[in-house]
Amino acid sequence: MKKTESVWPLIEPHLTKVERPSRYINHEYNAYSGSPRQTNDHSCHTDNHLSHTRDSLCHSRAGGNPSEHSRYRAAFLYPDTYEIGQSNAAIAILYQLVNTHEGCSAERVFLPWLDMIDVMRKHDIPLFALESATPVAGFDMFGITLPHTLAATNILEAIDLAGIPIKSCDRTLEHPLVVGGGPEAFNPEPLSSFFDAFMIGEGEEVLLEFVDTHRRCLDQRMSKAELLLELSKIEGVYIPSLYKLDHNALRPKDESIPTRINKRVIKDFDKLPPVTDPIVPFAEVAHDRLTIELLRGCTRGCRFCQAGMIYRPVRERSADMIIDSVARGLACTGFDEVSLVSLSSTDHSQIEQILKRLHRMLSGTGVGISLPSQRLDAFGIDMARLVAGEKKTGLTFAPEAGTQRLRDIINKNVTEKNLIDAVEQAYAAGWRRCKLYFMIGLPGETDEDIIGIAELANRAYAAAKDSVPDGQRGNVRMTVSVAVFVPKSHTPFQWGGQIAREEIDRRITVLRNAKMHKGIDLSWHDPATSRIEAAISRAGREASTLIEEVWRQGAKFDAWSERFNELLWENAADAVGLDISAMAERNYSIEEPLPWDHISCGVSKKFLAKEYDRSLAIETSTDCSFDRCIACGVCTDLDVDIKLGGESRA
Amino acid sequence: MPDPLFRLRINFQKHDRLSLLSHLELVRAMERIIRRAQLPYAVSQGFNAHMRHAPGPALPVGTSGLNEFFDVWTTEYVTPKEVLARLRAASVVGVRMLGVKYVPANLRGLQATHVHEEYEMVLSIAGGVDETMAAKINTLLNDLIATGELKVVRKKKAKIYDLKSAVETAPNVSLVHGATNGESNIMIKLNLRSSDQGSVKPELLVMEALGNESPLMIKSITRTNLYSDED
Repeated sequence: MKKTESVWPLIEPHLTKVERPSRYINHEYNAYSGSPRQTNDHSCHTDNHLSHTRDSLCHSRAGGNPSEHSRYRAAFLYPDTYEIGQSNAAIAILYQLVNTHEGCSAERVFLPWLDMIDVMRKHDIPLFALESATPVAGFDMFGITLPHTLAATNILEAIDLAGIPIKSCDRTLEHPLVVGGGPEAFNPEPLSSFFDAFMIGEGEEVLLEFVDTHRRCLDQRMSKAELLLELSKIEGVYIPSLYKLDHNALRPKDESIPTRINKRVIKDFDKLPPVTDPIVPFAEVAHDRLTIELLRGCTRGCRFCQAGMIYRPVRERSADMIIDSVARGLACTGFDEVSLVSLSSTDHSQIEQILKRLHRMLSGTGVGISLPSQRLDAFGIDMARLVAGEKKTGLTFAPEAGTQRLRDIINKNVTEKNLIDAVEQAYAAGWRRCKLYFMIGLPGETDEDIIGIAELANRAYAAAKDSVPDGQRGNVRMTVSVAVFVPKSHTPFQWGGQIAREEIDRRITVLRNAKMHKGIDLSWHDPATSRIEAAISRAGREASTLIEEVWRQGAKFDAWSERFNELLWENAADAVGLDISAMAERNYSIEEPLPWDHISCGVSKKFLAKEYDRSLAIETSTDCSFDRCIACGVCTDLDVDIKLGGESRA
Repeated sequence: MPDPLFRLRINFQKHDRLSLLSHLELVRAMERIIRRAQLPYAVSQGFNAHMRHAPGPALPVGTSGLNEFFDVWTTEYVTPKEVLARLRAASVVGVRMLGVKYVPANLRGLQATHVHEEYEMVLSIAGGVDETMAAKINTLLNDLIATGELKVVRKKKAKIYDLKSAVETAPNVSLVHGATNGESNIMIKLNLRSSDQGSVKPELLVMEALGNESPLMIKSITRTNLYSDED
């Protein structure tokens, strides 16, 4: 079949036989129809939005002509099902960006669920982009979000289902350029043989530079090698095939290629309005609401947290911009809920004002507000009360560790008093359930710290009971949720391995045996998946052989607990001569090159080492958004400022 | 919050790809259209504040509807013409707004009143169909209906439908010619009636009559009309 021909007639007869056909039908409100919009003025009710698929304008589909060669076409994949991917805020931003860029269009791609993959493979139907229903293989760019480590096998499944060779070296100009971006791109090596290029850091600016350069190279009929070299000149773009291993470190093959790739960061994030006309899905998706990003970055400095390092510095949007965006966004979508997202939303310097104004604006409309990340103190509860109204469903707090000593080691700057105050206030205000989130296997952890989890939970539970009226004590619920720590690149804990599997099991037993009140439920994140994450997330190029092998053995949807199969991973590791335990538990020395040394998030290795030393000395560090600079290096290295309330901090 | 004073009845079509929406997905899509249209919808009181509305009888996944209804309660009067214009501007491809009218706020629900359903099913087979085939299908359908009941097993639970009351008039089976390629198809017209026990899915009725081994393929199912005794 032709690469530009719609596969819709081929898939349509099967759609009543697969689960949730609405995943595959496109036509959602605010989806682009295939012809580019002229401008974007952030209001969905103007004539500029003629290409929106809406009834009044187009009973037959508005006409995109996929065979139009002059148009640059990008297909963006979120490597999971529609329900997970359609909720992703990054895809929504990039989709709008390219669709409003002159001469370009972008379409969405999700990995079909297993039943649909079977149908497609049986009937030779290639992976297609939703808007035009044309094969991904016919696009200029296949952009793939790298959201987490366990998405690796889904990425290979998607590339292969598209009929594209999975390895970069086997692809030619006949194939789309396969490009990755997102958090996992900060250690791209395990996926490096499958990608032609990675974009490191925030995508809003680099993506369009990439698209323009790629388009120019195609117009000039450059060879793939010339084209990749040209793309490598863009700040923040990493072309893995231009680097080779030399004395355990990755070095450029040529002097003209940068030795270090700096992440891209949006300096004027405060001036960049959020997407207020996102696609409104028909299917019920994971985050089925309007999403407005309050701020980017978090400098609390938790030493285990990769997001807290790679998204620095903190840049807030102003309260006015946020209120305006919520109003526009709700009018343009019809959602009944808005989520104010960021790594730490209650840390926004104007959060109280924002919530009060929104509360007033939305009162009586049946539209709810949600604030996903709960700050662990009394202020956090005040803010939660502002958004919850009558609907006090549940709160999540993350003390992360059971004792103050270990919380100091990981620089989680909350105290037991913070937690107890928050719990008391929440239960007194009417909440009847909360979840406490902890990790085990953190560096420096002892059995006392593990028992400390149970003891802390018991005291929090007692405080909760004491805070509710007599007759309601039976309704008090608390869940303790525990995950195994996975060390990540670009963090102060990047050098040390995960604890051994047997030790994980022993520590879990220690916690299970610790006395916890019977009203507290204990739940676990599967340690087997955490071990695979640990094995891959700090690995080098060698890990791509493992990923390819495990995918060939049938692994996909590894992030779905019912689909994850540890045995497949073990067998695959045996087949390629790797040892998953050794990979997960690997310790790097401070002097040794790290597989991600050529990728910089702006935070210096020296700072990370210093933070690691401070953790050993059980010393905490401050948050530079509120306190003095602790010289992580981001602002100076990348020439960017902290911005609070939309203004540069003095 | 003012008392809901008005009840708007929206008449619409669900067709094309949106025939693949589930009932729940359609309801959510309608809610979002109403919010985008900025109609003065009433909000329920209580723990989970939500828009006050009542959808019509569910359409099975994959079935289009040409005369569907959705009720929503409002707190202010807006002329039906204005409501229709706003709904049309806020709608999606595949939900076509036909008309709106105000109905008494205390009227019985659509699912209780709109019990008469007319369906059209188009079936095809490789190599085409002929009059003999149509006649045979007619016989099979009438034989099944004559038994008086349809047993449907779903998730190991059996449900028995009373066909005497569910099938209002004898099915009409005919040959139709495709508009584009001129191929012949079978058209089955069914007049069904829903009850407290739910409504018979026309697809189940026809597939039961034809048998699982039948090489006939369903090309489309459309609920062409939905009405009440008062209509």
